[in-house]
Amino acid sequence: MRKTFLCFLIALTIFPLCLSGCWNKRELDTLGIVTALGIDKAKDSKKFNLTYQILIPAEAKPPSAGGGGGGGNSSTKSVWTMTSYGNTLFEAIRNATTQSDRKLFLAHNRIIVIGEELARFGLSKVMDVLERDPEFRRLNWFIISKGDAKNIIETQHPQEIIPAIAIENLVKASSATSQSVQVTLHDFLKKMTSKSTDAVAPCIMLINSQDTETQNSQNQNRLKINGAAMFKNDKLVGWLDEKETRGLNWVLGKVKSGVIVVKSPYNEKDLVSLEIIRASSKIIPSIENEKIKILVEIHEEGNIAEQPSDADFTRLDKFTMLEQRQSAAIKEEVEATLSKAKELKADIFGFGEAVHRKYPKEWKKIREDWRDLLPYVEVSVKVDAKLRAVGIITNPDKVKE
Amino acid sequence: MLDNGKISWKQITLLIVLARFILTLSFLPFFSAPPKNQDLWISTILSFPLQLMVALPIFIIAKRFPNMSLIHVLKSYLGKFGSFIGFLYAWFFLHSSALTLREFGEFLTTSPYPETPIIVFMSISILFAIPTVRYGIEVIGRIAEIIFPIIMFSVFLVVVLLAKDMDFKQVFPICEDGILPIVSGAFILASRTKEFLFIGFLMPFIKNSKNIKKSIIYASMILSLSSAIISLIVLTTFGIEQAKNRTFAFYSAVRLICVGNFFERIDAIYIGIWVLGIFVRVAIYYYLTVIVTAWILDLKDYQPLVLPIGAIIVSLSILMADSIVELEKFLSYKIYTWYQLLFSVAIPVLFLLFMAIKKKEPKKT
Repeated sequence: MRKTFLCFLIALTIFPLCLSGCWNKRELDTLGIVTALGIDKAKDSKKFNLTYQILIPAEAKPPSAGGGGGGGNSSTKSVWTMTSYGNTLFEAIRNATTQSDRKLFLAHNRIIVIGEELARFGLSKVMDVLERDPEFRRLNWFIISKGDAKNIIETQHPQEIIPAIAIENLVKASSATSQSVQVTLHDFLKKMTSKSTDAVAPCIMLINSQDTETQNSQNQNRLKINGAAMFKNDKLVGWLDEKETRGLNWVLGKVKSGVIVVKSPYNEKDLVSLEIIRASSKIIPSIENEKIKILVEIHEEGNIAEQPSDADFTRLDKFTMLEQRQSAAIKEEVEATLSKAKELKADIFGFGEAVHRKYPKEWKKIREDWRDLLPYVEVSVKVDAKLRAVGIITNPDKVKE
Repeated sequence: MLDNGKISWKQITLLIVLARFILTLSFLPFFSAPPKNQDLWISTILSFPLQLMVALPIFIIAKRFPNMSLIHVLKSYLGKFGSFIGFLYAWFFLHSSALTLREFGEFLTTSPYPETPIIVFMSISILFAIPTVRYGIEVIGRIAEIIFPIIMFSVFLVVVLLAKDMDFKQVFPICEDGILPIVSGAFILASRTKEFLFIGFLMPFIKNSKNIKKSIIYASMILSLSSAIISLIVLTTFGIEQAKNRTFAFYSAVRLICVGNFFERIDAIYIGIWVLGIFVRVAIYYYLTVIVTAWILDLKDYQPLVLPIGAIIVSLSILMADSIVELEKFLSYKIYTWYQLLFSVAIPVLFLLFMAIKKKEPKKT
């Protein structure tokens, strides 16, 4: 009996120790949840310059239906942007606590924007903390900005309360045109550390749209994601415009959807829009007489989406002509990208990897100077484009005169 | 008999698999070992026959002396020297248990709980292991039986959820640097399977000891298959260059899971599963240390040894290395492989040779 009582006493004294909870707990109201992070190189110094978009949870709720509609502009307050400096990224993140009363919490970060200047300087020294720190997720969207990343992070978006979500949606929406790329930190790191393949990242920029309708006299900056940044090793070497980016996506087989505009076979002045339904690609390397040749095979299927001309595409021969024009348009896009990549000696297509996989022995001899060899590699593009459907009318309505 | 518990051959198989496999789930040291390229998964499959070879000496001894543990065999043949070798094994199990505990602590303090002192995790898991060891081998065997399907299911789930992120082109080219690095990789992998020693030491507890052959074959088969799956997951999601740099490769892969924008950040579940598995591994090595020591000292009861050895394990796990860098230096394939082979192969083989030469009758103990 006494023993049981003693055990009971011991339990009574020990268990309350566990009740005090975790000593490094972090409550929601002490966290500054960062939704987007911009990294720049500070001007004229080796310091880094980090811009955070920090959520203000009390403001970041969807506007109540019906209620105080008059407020309207509450969306400007739902996030707060601030900038901190440091010799290293980690120092800069910690330095943020001198300005933010809440400790920055990066686990829910969605967007990482890198400034152009830093990207040209080289990213290998920057990426380490993004990988090493367990708070960062590798599924952050990775974007390169034209100009400073700071400006991008500070820009509001009229459609979303949290601008970071708008950026995320913009990145995802790029699959509708395939004129940009969708790259996560994970994808980027994989290509950056790869021995031959070079990385690309979507390009974000600010455009000046003068809104006359809203009677806002001041210019409003808008975010736009279009094209891609092209890297060589860890350095930004050039930009791909929207056509070239789709050219890259054709080769990588990443075209999901999009529009190809071709001239009508009947009348050169009329334009026909073709919608891309699905596409796939194959990279086939071959070695002939010690020369590396690469064949890119692209298969595409499309529909006629819009054809305002008075052409009659129910005729099979004209229909096949349209298909050929579609192939030619795709080929043109791919070749534009190819020549740009060759000019900058960046293997963004993964041709080197393809050679490596098929000819491991030969690859060992050329892998050291693969990037210098790239301009001399013969790349031929074979496009097999099909048109399947014409929509729910056959010929356009004719206006009787 | 110190422990009247009995385990079935299925349970011993699962114990071997769990104890070996659970560390693969987190540390995965073999990405930095040869073959150092994308052929790693071939190594894992090739390790199957090599694992059988590693298990062979133990199997021969166990077959020849059923119902006798390795300690009893050694003691009856070698007398005092046998006891000395027994002490080496006791140290080996103690060390393995402490290593496991340390790796467990390092993992938890690196990623999910960076600010918590490492001793918290170690002492908590030992506190739970103490009653388990007190209850004996039967309980440990049953825990293994319960936990094994959970862990396998979670691995299967990870495969399904990561399927869209896997790029199987990463596996090619096959045999880039020839067959030799692959074989040496398989050798390193197989040498890490010291868990076949369990059979040698737990013989007296195994019901129907005729089945140990089946147990060894099944265990190595499951092991090489499951490590092939794990290495393929990591390889195809990260690519070899990135995979080499992961401290906790499989954990990093789990963190990549994101299905339909809402099913993500499930790594906490995975950590829970890992804690379950590590618990079994700590418990079985802890139990072996205790029971081996008791056998050597001819004790009538092993219970008094449980607490002091637990205390030694926790302190050893903290004292063994100052940092994860020091720990990984020891665990790297250049040192750890030979350390393990000494116990799992060299000593049993030497003993078998000794028996073959001397043809001695067992001493009376």
